[in-house]
Amino acid sequence: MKRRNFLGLMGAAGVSAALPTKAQAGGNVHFEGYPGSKGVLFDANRCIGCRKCEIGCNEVNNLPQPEKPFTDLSVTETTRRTENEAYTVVNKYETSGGPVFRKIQCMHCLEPSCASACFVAAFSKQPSGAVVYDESVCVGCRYCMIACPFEIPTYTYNDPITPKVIKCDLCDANINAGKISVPGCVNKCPKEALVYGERDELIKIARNRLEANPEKYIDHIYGENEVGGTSWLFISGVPFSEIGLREDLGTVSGPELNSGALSVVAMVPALWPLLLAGVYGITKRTDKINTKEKADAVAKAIAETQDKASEDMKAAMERARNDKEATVKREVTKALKEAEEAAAAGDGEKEEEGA
Amino acid sequence: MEKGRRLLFWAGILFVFAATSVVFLEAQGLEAQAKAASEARADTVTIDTLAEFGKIELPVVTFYHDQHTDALSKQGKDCAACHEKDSKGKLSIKFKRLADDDAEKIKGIYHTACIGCHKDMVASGQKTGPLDGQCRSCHTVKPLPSDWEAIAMDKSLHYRHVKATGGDEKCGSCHHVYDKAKKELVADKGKEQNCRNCHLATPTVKSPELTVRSYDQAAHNKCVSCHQDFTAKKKDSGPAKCAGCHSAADQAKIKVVKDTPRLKRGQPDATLLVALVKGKAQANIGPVPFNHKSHEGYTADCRSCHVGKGTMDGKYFELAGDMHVVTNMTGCIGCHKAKQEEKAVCAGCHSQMAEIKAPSKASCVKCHDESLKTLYVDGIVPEKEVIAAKAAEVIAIRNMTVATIADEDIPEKVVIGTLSDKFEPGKLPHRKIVKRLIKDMQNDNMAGFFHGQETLMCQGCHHNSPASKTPPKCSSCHGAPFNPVKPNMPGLKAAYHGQCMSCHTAMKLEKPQNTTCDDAEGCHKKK
Amino acid sequence: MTTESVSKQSLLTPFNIIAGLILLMGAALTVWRFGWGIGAVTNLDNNNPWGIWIGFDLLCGVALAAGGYVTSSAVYLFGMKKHHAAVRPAILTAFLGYLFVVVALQYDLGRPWRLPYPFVVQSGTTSMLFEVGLCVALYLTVLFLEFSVAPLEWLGKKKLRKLIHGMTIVLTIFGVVLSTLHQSSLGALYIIAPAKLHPLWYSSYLPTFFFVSSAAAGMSMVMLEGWISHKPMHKVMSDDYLGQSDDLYYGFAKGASWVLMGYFFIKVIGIASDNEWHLLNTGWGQWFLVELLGFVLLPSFLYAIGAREKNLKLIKWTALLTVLGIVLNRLNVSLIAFNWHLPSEMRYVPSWQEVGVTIFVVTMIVISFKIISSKTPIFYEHPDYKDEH
Repeated sequence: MKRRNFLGLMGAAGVSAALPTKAQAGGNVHFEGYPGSKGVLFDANRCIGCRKCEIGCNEVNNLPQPEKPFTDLSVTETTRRTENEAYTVVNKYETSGGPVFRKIQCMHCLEPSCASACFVAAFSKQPSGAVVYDESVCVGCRYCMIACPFEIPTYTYNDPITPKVIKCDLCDANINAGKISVPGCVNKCPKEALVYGERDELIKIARNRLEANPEKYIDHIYGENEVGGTSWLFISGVPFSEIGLREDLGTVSGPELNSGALSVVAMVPALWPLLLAGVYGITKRTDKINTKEKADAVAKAIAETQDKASEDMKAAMERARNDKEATVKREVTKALKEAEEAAAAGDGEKEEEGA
Repeated sequence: MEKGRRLLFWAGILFVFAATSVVFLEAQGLEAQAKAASEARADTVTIDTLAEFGKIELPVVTFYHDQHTDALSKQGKDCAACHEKDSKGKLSIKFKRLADDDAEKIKGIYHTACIGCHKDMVASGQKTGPLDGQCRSCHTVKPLPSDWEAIAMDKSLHYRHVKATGGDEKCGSCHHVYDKAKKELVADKGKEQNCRNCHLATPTVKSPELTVRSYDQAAHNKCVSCHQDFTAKKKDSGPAKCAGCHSAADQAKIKVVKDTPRLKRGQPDATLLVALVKGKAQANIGPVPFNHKSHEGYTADCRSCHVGKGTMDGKYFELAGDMHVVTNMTGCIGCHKAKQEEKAVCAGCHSQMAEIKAPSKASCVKCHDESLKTLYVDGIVPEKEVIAAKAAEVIAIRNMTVATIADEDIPEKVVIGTLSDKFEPGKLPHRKIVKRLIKDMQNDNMAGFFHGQETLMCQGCHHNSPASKTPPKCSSCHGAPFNPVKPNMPGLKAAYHGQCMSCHTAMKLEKPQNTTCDDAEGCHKKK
Repeated sequence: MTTESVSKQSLLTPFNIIAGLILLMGAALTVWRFGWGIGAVTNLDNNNPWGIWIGFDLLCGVALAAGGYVTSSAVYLFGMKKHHAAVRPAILTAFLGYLFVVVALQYDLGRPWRLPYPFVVQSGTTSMLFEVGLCVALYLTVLFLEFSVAPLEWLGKKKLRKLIHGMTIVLTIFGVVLSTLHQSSLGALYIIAPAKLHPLWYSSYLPTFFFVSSAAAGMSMVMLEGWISHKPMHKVMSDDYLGQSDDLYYGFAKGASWVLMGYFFIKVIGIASDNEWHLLNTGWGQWFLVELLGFVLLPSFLYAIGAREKNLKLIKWTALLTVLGIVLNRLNVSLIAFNWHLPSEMRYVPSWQEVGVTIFVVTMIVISFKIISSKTPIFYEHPDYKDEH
């Protein structure tokens, strides 16, 4: 592994390892709800499972009558969840303290996971406390249903053209229009197991009940802090997990969970291009240097070869010349010697040629 | 290439080995026992003797005693097979030893004896327990659930034992005291105490020659041996097996004798209760005249109230805890409150009264008689006879019947129609309900004592208003719901429903059901 | 090595017949889905809003298409020029992968025609899905541009081709940035639902896990795709490509081995930081170990051995193992370990129609790949641009 590759990878790993840490700048701000925002307190000790709340919701929202009428209380024996035409249901739970009833509906969280998850911001938390849904922008991705820790939103899967997400809206539209003053379910309850009011007041009421009757209640208001706080609060005489309220959801809201990862998103396009351009630059430079070094080496080799060749040539030429000189010398010596011999032999004859 | 293949082969082996060991981390024990008896048992004995000597290496052993008694009795063996007798002939409840002296020795005893016996049984072809090497079958981390319940000697059981052992003269069959001079246990007629006064949770060494055995040892030894003797003599006897006393199912089968004759231990019929601080009576608010005789009928045994040890001179018995704290079941208020919630006729009204509301000032004088404080001059407690006589005098003139107003003053039917919308006005059978409640309270002394004022009963429903023959209407206080000025007060609809339904639910009435609104057994017809 | 001559063979090859049947089924399912709604063709319900269309088509599709950014960055940014012949096939795989992810998405969305809404009508910028959508949309554009060089060469559009080719480095860098963002955000989608995902798979490090594993997935997919397409596309493969093929396997096997080892360690860190060791001793723990040991650690070793011993066969099979491992991981996170707390009668099982649409989409990818790579310079170099590298 080349060094630059290693460095590049380390840089990448470093930033991605930083991903899960929360963005501290905005991290210790906790949204306590809009001032004066409303909520509902449900008292499990008071609920008798009469399903009048379901009737109230059905009437206010003009929903069709269900298959089994609301007066059929045996349906509470099966654990139901919210459906497209039942924004709220009441279930019967067999608990350590006998049968207890609980109403299920949207919890209208202070920091809703559905609103955080929606990529077209179709959900919004109203100052009234309600979490409302805007059908006109919904694309139908259903990420809100994944995000909701209470498994509340439903979807009209069988509608091919105009499918939408459905959930309780705390009768926000109707209350804002002045048609009703309290949500339909709250209005119908004969036992005031549901109390509608400002969330802060409801917490005080709940605390009063818990203090006045410690033997009758678990000392905890469910929804006060769960997933960052919800507008729908529960008090109960039996452990909450026995009436279908999960106690392992933690107190961190969905948006807070996301904040860590979201905070890193901006860092990536800021840093990656630098890193990668840097790596590319280094690569290119190394290539250039390598090419130059190669060229230099080639040139050097050529020069050396040339030098050697010319020296060899010189030596050969030198040798050749020496050889020639030597040959010439030898021939001359030979010729002289022959001439001398011929002269010596020619003294007896008078044939001299004038040497 | 060849090298690569070998490497690959060994990598694969290593991988499989790693995977297997990660999954099967502990040597598995026999599962047979767990499958065979998947119900809870009452005979679980946890053998953790070695824990006293230091840190133990393996989990404690869970031993099922009845299972072994049964198996041994089939072989014709009895307690002596495992339990030794000491020099005085008393059976030790320890296994094959009299004392816990040496850790290695004890470990050896257990392993040799237990596994040895199992081996013998295997040799004779019988189904038996774990053997060598099956360590985790005994030292198991998953013992069967235990449903062991403690058993108490209550009045009924005590009475049956008295009869079985021969009556009031034969207390010495069980009760004894240690005679220091004779250095032995002798009967102590007239001074019999609760066993636990001397036999504590752990053995106590009183002197070199006297170790008082723990309650566990003493009780099992006494009870079980005696039961076995009786059984041997073919007489009707108590259980000798764990489950016989300690399993809930068998406890339910124990015959209960109601109305046992009063156990005379020199207790008074009536007395005055007063707190003593450093021997001085605190009688400013007056002592409480207390009908001891009638209260004996309300409890299972003396220890329901007398929790500590009394003094043997009989002057007084320690009553533990604050008499007024609602959560103290051995005190007056706590027990009274529990009774209120027990009986249906009381629960209806009393379940709705807030628990943590401070009692009214009038309730103190109901019990404390200030006029009697003159008896305690300078805080000195008068003689027993004086106390008893005075108490009896006061108690005799007490009114113990529930007072109520005349029938004509109780409206017969009340029509509740203020909120009538989708339903007809409800017709409440007012007089019938009141009279029925009064009738059900007739024979209840507590109800009678505390409800002496004639309009007090009305306040059960007509609450938070002065006691009167003409109490205010509900709508005087309960108006529209969710009123921010009175956040804790329900609206009128919820007040009606809440009052009636809470009472019915607390009284566990079958009809009307909370959810029967409008039919024959309901409260208001549909329009 | 030049392009083919017009094929005179019959169109009724076994591949074509099967593909044709699948296309017909796909068409029918499309009509069914859009005529009668999602409920008519899926087993999705209110407890299980996402099924295999998201779990497999989207999550696995995007992870396996990561070969594009891995290969192009390796060759252009990290200077591994000897693999340059592998870039175009990788880009094509990636482009088709992402294109058909968007196609598959149309089936899953309730109102697919509103897909541009987050960008043009109202943006939910708090949402991880917004990030995924934006980055996938941008990256698809980048891939399209990178891919377009090949058909432009085929069409002879020299000037346009030169323009786009000049942007290669910028596009590559942009591609890595966008890939990092959306690969990790797909993992981050599940951060908001800790109560629904089994603790062994849930971690605040999910984005890191998804990103790192996508690198290994990309490399393995490039190798796998090379292996699968070798025989059918052999006649359009240039000498260059074939010559570099072995080195590609060795190089990528080495790289993938390192990445998988790193992935293994960060997964272990995830367990350690949440102190979940005791969970390994449960049924779910054993399933997790199957995924971690058998499909992450094992291929890491096998890749290392294969690269060292130059064992091509081992490398190819390990590539398949790794790809299956990534698929397993994505399916675990989205479908199997998701909603693990619900009773079995409330768990999701895909309907045959959902499987059918998935097969349909994959088939379309294969067909497109075959057509494009046989007609345009993917596996070979266009003679006019031979020396432009």
